[in-house]
Amino acid sequence: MSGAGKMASSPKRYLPKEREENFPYLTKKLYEVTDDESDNYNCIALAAGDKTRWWEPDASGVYYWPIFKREWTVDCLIEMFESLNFQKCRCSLKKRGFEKVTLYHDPVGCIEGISNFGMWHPEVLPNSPTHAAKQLPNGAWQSKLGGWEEIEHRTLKCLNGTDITGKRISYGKPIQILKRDLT
Amino acid sequence: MALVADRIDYYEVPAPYVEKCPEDWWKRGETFEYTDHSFSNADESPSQPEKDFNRLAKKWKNETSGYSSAASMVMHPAYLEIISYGEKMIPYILKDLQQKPSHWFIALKTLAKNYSPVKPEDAGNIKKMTEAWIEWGRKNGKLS
Repeated sequence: MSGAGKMASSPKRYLPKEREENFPYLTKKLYEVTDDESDNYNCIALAAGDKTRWWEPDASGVYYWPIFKREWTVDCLIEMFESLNFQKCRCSLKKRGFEKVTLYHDPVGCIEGISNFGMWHPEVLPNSPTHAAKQLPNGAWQSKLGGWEEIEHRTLKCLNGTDITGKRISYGKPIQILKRDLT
Repeated sequence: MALVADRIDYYEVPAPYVEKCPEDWWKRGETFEYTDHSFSNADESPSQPEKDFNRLAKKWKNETSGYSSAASMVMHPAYLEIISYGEKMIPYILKDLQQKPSHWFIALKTLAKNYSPVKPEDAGNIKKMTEAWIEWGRKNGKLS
C-alpha cells in the first residue's frame, strides 16, 4: 500500500487543476497524490483495506458489499465497518494501536442534479454519505477520490466543502469517526 | 418503399439498391446480390448512435468520475440517456469497456434485461467484471 513512505521519497504529484478545484480546502501544502486514477477501487474499499474491488451497497448488487444490508446511508456504512471490527469513536487524532476511518456526509442534500466546477451532483437526501478516508500511521489521511487519484491529505477538512448557497461541492464534511484495535 | 425480400422484415434496403433490383427478380429464380456500404468496414466513420454514445459517455465520465458511489454516477442524465437508447448501445458500451474499464455494469445489466454474466464472487472486481461482460458480448454477437 502506498502512503507515507512514498511521500518522503518521490517527487510530489498533484491532482489536475480541474479536479483540485472541487476541493476548496485542498491546498498543495496539505496533500499529494499517492496512486494513479483508477476505477478498480473506491474510498470505501480503501478504508476497508482492499484495493482490488469497488465496495458499494448498490441495490442492483453489482458491486462488492460484505453485509446483507445494502443502502447508501451513513448507518449502513457504519454497520459495514462494524462488521470489520471497527467501532464508533469521537476523536480523529492518531492513537497508537488503532486504525481509524472517517465517514463524510452531505449535510444539505440536493433536490435536483446540479453541476459545480465541472462535476455533476445527483439529487440526494440530506445526510447521505459521500466519502470515507483512512488514517495512516503518520496521522495523516488517505482518500481515494472516486475513480480519480488516491491522495494523502494532512487534515480531514481538506475534502470539506459547500459553496455559499449551501450546494455541495467536494465531499461535504465528516460525520463519523470509527476505530479498530490493531493489537 | 418496396422491400427486396419480405424475409428481411427488420431491415429496409436503401433506395439505390431497390432501384437496381428488377421488380420481378423473385420470378427469375436468380439471386440478386448487392453490397450495402453502410455495413462495410471501408467507411469507418461512426454511425449516429455511436456518435451519440461517444458524446454522452464523454460527458458522463467527465462529470462523475470523482464520485465514490457508482449508483450516484449512473443517475447522471447522460448515462440515463444512453440506457434509453436500448439494446443497440450494448456494442458501443462493450467497445468502451474494452478500451478502459468503467462503470458500465449497471447499464449493461439493465439493457440485458437484468442478466449479468459476472460470478457473484467477482462482484466489485472491475477487471473480472469487465472480462465477463466482454466474453458475454462475444458469445452473443454484440462484440466482434
